[in-house]
Amino acid sequence: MITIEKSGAKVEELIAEFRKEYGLKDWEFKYEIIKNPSSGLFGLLPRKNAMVRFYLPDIEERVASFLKELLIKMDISYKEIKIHKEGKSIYLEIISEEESGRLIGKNGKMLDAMQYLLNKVFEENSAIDHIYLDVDGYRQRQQAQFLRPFLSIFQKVRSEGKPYTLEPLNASERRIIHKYIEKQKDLSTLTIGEGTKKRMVIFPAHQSASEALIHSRQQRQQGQHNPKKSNLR
Amino acid sequence: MKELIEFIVKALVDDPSSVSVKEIQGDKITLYELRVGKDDIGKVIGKRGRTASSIRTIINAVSTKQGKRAELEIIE
Repeated sequence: MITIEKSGAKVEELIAEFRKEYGLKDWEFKYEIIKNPSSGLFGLLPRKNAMVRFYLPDIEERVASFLKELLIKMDISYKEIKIHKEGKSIYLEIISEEESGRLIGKNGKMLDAMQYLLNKVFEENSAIDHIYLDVDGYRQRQQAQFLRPFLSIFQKVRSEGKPYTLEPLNASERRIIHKYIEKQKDLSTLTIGEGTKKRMVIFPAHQSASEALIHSRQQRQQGQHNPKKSNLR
Repeated sequence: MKELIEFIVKALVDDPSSVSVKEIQGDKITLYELRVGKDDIGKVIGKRGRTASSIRTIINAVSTKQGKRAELEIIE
């Protein structure tokens, strides 16, 4: 929580100014009028400015309180909301247990809808890039499942010491792989291509990115590197 | 439900004071007519209608629990 004091001619103007400066919605902050302005009685007393004290909770608290309010209005009970901030990302996890299914929805549809709205609501806030929402470890499990088929590829890169270029993946899929590889000390990644056709190259950490890039280019030119097709043969 | 829609929409728009939701009760379906300020329509619809469809997903889930069908109409 931070406290900011502002003074000026009118209380309403100070509030509007504060909202604009921090890109806030009305429900995101509280304020207290410390001093009301006085116009100076018949010009005998000097004019006095208004003073307002603003209370601004930390961004992660604001996101969490929005989510709590949303859940109350949706009539969904939960046990706990876990908040975790990492750089400009905020990770929220609803611990619900009983209403897990409703909160996740079919194929995570409900969870995606809530996450999307959270990001839209806080979009203008420059302190954060992205808000990730999970319910009872659902996304964690999904990610582990998604990663499983790649583990043997990563192992191959380790044992053969050669870069491997993956099939094109979307942004959230690449993020899962990237986060996983980040934790592996002996592997690195780089991304090639543009738009929706981006591919990731997995390579041994002792190689440089340019070495890996040359290698992956050679592999693709030789056409020996299409794992899906080779699996079919 | 009306309160839920207002809460979400007011958080999304620039001008919360222009947000209004009208509830029209039908036999099986309850219709919610949403009006927002002219400049905020894009914000509630979103790119390729994604914001509107996210709001609808939430509304549907809540109305199913209440045993009714709800529909959201954004009045332009």
